[in-house]
Amino acid sequence: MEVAERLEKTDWARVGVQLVGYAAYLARSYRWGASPTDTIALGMAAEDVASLAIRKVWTGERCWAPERQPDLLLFLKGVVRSEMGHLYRRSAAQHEIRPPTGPDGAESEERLAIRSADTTESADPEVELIRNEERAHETRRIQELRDAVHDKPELAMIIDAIGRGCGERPRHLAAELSVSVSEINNRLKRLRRVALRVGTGVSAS
Amino acid sequence: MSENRSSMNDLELAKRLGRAFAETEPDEELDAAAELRSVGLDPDEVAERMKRVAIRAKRSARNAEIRARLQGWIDDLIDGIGDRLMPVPAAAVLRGGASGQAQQADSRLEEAVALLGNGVYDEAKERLDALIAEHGEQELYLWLLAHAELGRDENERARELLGAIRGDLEPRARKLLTELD
Repeated sequence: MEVAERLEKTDWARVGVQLVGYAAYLARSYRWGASPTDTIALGMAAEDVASLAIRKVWTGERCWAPERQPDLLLFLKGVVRSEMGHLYRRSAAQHEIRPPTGPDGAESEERLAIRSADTTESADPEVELIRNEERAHETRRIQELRDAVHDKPELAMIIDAIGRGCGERPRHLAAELSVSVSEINNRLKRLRRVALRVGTGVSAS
Repeated sequence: MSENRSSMNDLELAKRLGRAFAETEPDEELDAAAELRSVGLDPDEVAERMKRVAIRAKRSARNAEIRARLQGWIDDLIDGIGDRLMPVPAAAVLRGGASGQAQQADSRLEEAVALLGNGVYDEAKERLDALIAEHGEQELYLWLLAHAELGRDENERARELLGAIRGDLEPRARKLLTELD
């Protein structure tokens, strides 16, 4: 059966709901880490990105090869993940200039010092005021998260590792903490659940 | 854990944590409907909208495919039409009178073909509509107009026109209809 025929026979209502649900899951993760002034929105971002993925697969811009991935929904989820990442990076780039990371995704102490200096100086008092509010907001949230995992050292270790500049990819964290990637994935999922509970001011928006 | 506090500010740490959370895959049994409701979306409405997105995407993909092949069809059309341009006025002249009108029709027909060749489909359609209004639905006009409509992404209209073609051009019209399917 040709790709077009398979796409034709797809139950798009069902696949669409699954896909937007998946995009919403990813958006909630990114949104938790976004500052209050970031423009990335939850509902619309999720639906827009899912729609974009569907369009790209139909037009062939994202080439689905059923012989390599027979499950269309899984393929579409991969497209959504990639597009969501682009969207997030574009949104984040409006707020900061990210210094390059090393080959392992980590930042050097020197880079972190430069970043710290970059984010603490501003000639514009209004910008400085917004930054101060953002900092206060994030400090509160991070503290709430730390408090929530104070009796779960395996989760606190993740926060600390990322705070020390370790790359946020599971394989980076696994290497840093000397545990398996699947263990890191489990911990990240648990930490995410805790974070979404404590970060109510953001996660519920 | 406070003895092991991070060396980056909390703003940056939150961003990185967000990215780390996004690295995780949801559980297999992710309740998509619940996820949608949690961000204020109604699953039934999302289902309807996604169906429409797929229909529009399909149409758009089909149009793009047709556009990509259209120039080839128009080149074939122009190659095969040269001998059909002159007989119109010639026949009109032989029938006697109205040679001015026939020549005018021929010049508009040539213009329409040139416009099609240059991808100016809206104006080609205008010329052909005017010719059909004056001279009736001749197979050549319908054949040309179908190509103009394809260029305007009016694929259904093009199909109707191709289906209405009778005479020498009918086999080619049927072949093009098959290709459009």
